[in-house]
Amino acid sequence: MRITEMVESKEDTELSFTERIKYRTHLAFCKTCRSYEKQSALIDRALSRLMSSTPKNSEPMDDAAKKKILDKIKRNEN
Amino acid sequence: MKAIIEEWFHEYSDDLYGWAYHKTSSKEVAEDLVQETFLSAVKGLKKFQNKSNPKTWLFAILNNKIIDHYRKKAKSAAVNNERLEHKYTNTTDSFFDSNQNWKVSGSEVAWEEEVHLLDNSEFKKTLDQCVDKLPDNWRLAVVSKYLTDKTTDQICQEMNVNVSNYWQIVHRSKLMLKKCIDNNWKH
Repeated sequence: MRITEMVESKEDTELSFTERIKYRTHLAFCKTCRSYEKQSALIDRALSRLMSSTPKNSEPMDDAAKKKILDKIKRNEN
Repeated sequence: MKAIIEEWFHEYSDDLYGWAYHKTSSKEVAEDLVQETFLSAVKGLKKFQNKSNPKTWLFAILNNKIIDHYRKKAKSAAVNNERLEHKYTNTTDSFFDSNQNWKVSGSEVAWEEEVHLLDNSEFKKTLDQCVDKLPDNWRLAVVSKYLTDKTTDQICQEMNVNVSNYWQIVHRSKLMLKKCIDNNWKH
């Protein structure tokens, strides 16, 4: 497994002792890896927010489409 | 009890539609997803039992419909997707040398310390556009992971991949997102 891959999977599956040592040692000497580790965490948080934020100024649904759906709801309720 | 869904429709359909449109960029698809959401709500009303906020409940149903939509889309464009996935895999592999170490060009943009980016609307827009550029299957993995509270096992089952494949997809998607932010986000 590529070291950078561990950045992602370690949040879900715990790394083994050997992997943890390998990971930490590698990162101590790899500036880009350390920067990616932080970027990856930032992307994580940004994605979680992005996925849960409702868009502003969105257009309402067409009245015709609304009527159609409402009719279907009524028919399915019975 | 019966009319409650109609009441919810009047109250929340625009919000649900706005969200579905935002996630699918298609008026027709968004309308269909809202319709399916309410029809599922009619069927599942007994399960709801006022346990949660109706808006939260409807959005959870809609999010599952949105993921179903991505899955169907990924399936129908399987050949093109494979080509795109192959291309993007090559791209992400090219970030590393033969020892699997990062290739460093010296022109990397450092944005990892900028926690305020989370509130920056331009940054969010860039990230959103970057997610849209991912191959369908990769986007499906990312959206399933962050949009719903599904476990890794559930997502793997639905995508029909094993756990290590899944992490590889997430890994490559995030590398592409990093690259895409590096390239497109202006400080």
